[in-house]
Amino acid sequence: MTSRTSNVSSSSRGRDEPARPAPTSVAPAPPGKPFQVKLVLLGEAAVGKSSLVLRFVNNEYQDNKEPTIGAAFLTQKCRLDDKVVKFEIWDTAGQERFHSLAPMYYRNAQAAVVVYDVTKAPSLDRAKSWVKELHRQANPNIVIALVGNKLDLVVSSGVPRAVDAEEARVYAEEMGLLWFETSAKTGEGVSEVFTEIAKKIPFDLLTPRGRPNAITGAAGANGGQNSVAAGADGRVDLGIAGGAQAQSGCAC
Amino acid sequence: MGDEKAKQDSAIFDSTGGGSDSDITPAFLTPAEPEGDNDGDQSSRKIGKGSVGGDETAAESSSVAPTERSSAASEAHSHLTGDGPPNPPSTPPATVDIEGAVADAAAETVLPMRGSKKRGPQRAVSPAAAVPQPGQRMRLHHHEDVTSPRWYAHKKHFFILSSAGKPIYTRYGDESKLSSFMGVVQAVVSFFAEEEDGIRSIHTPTHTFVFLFRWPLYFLCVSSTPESPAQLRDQLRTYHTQILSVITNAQLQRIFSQRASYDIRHLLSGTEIFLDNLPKSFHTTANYLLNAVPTLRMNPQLRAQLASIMASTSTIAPRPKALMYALLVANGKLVTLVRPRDHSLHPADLHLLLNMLSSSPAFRHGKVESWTPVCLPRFNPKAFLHAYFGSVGAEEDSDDDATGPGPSRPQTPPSYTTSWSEGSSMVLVLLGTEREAFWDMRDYRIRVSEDFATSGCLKGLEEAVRNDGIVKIPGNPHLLHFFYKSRTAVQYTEMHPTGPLAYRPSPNSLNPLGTPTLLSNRPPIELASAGDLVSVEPHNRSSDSVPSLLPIKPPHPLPLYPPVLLLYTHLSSVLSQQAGSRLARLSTDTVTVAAMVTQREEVYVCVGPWCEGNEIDKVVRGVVKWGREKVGEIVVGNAPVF
Repeated sequence: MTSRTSNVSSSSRGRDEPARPAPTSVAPAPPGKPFQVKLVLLGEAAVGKSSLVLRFVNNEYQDNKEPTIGAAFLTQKCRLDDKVVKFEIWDTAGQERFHSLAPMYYRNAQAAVVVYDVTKAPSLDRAKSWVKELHRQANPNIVIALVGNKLDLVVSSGVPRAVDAEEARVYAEEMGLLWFETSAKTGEGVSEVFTEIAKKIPFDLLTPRGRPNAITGAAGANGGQNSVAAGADGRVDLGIAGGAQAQSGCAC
Repeated sequence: MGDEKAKQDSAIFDSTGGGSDSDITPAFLTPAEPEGDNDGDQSSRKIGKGSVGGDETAAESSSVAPTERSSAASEAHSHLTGDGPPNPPSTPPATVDIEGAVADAAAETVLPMRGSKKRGPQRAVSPAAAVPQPGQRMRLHHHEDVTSPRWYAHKKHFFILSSAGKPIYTRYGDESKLSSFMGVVQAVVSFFAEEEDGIRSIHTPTHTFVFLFRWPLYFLCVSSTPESPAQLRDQLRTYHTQILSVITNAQLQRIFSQRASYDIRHLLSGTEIFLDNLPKSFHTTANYLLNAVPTLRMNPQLRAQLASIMASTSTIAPRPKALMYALLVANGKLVTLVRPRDHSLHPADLHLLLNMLSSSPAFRHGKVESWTPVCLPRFNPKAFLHAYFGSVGAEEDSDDDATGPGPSRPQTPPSYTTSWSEGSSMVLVLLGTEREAFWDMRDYRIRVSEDFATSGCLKGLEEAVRNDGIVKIPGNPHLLHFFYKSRTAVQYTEMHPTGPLAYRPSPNSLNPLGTPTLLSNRPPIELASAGDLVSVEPHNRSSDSVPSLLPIKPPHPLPLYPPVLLLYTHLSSVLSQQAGSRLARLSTDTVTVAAMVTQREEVYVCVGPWCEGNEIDKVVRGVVKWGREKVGEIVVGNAPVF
């Protein structure tokens, strides 16, 4: 308890704890021991990631929400059957300049919600490249949900749909993703995203109450200034790192 | 490239990269020293800022000593009268200030009231609210450009472009549609730059154009407000600082030395909200006018207790190793700050953080914690720190609480509102050197928040927030509002506007933010004169000026009725231009404002129109007396260091 930093080395530590094997689907989790699920939201800027989370966490919605700066962290507890699941949610900024920071947030995540805007075709391409990156670099067991947001625009505002539902669904199926269409504005479909994710999380691999998932790396655990060395892979250098990445797809 | 980056990152830890080490009485703030630029006029607004750094004597002799320095410079004065500006709304003869030639203040500073006469054909009223397309940046008047009359009607434009003439930012409209305009700006600036003499400002009877060149960026303000060029230039510097917080100066230099035509907009994208919010900060807080830090007034013991909890080396969640600065901010005002012994925080960096907080409701949302890199240019212009924003006093989400609600159920309403004036959010801003330190910061914030609650400090803090701005000074029934700044501490406090100032006039009847017409209603403009007073010619009344400020209906309470701040701004610039003056006042139909500068403080007051002559002096002196008595409650003094 002295320092939760010690948890940084994380998932392995969770598994090493023999005391709580948590065969969850059978035995109810003891009250007060929620399973923590680290979830990260990814997707192009302005597709509605923050709005989805705020709808889920606080049941609120705000038009013209300001862009997320860096990343926002929120938590939400849900009851799923006999378990309490606590989502630890990283809502990342969609701007290209923050791309280089993304691995810090999806590393060790058990779930990812990759969001696109049903009225913007390029946003699906961006989502696909996030999925690719997750498959390549994230936790192999990660549960990924592909979410087409802003359904309200198509349904009631007469904005033409730019991403065909069937096309997205087929893609999701091929890639083994959950797939949803939502409206953070009306709330439609939002809680389903998180419920279905929770259902797919392999809880038998998790220990309640651990922190299997800091944004972390070796660096944090050492503390101290030596961690600068980690700056080489985890660079602070936002803008240029992003700009220099050929695959980043920015049109600079 | 990688090495270079590593080097830059490591610069964070280089103590030489830090702020000034100089220790001044209120030990946490770096004195607001003049910037290291050669503008020559940088001091003209900041009345007596020189008094902070330790040359008290110099400041003593004259409260506006800096101006004297500038007037010396004005001997090398070359004052051009030339053609009109390239692209102004109207083109009467204009004056052009050239770098190194400081305006002879009285003669050249375009008395802002002249602006009130503008009646350009394009002048339009109450521009429609912007209707941004979904998913786009919420731009102000995004549909406007140089062909729209309304675009010209805005009181104050800000533009940023690259030295190659690429548009980077505009306050109104869409910068990508302003390429030709930006091209002209670039041409004008470059023309003068070749003469080894930068252009500083252009004056027309209706507008002031103020330029700032910070390679590789050009900044331009086009204003018809009563602010002086020096004040506007300070605002441009604030824009520059804001940009540097997102793209470090080192990055900028590198990018533009490699590719002069680089478009940096995508590197800024998402952070335009900070730029967009600056004018609001200019006009609703005195942070920039006074060049000082707003503080929350409270019992000094309480403040000390809060600080000691923050500095405590509790074993439960010790202060993270990576932590550099911990700031407690409530209502947009500083409560206390814990810092390393050898690193003070420059007010400009603090303003930057306050502007960020005020720009984005997410930073103050009780359920949201934020983690983002930020560069504090005065601390270290080469590297990013990592900033954590989290609320204190909000209900903690305890893991032991098993009554987890289902995914969708109504929750308590959000704890923030859209503006500081309505919210009472208390936010802990933690700045550290490690990008992975989020959890340490979070644990620390939770521990501090709990300790605040258990020690009873939280109640005291909440009470201070509730009482923020509520001041009773006995015997001053006419007092509507004041700012009191301690010049030695570089901090200020204010009284909430009361009476007619507390309300916004109905939108269709009155001037929007920034209009100078307020000044034009009652001739003559009275500025106390002679000796330590200032006198200014009354300007001609414009017959079409908008009448009276008295509120029609009080629909929206405002933190401060903006035009009053503009009146203060005007007083401030008058004072800074008049050597030796310490007191000035100015009356309109509805209010009288007065400013006084002493060795120790700067005071701005606003009283009702029925208050005259000696009474005003009495009010001012009453505020000064109050401030001296309460200085312990106002100033964030020697907070603990580590």
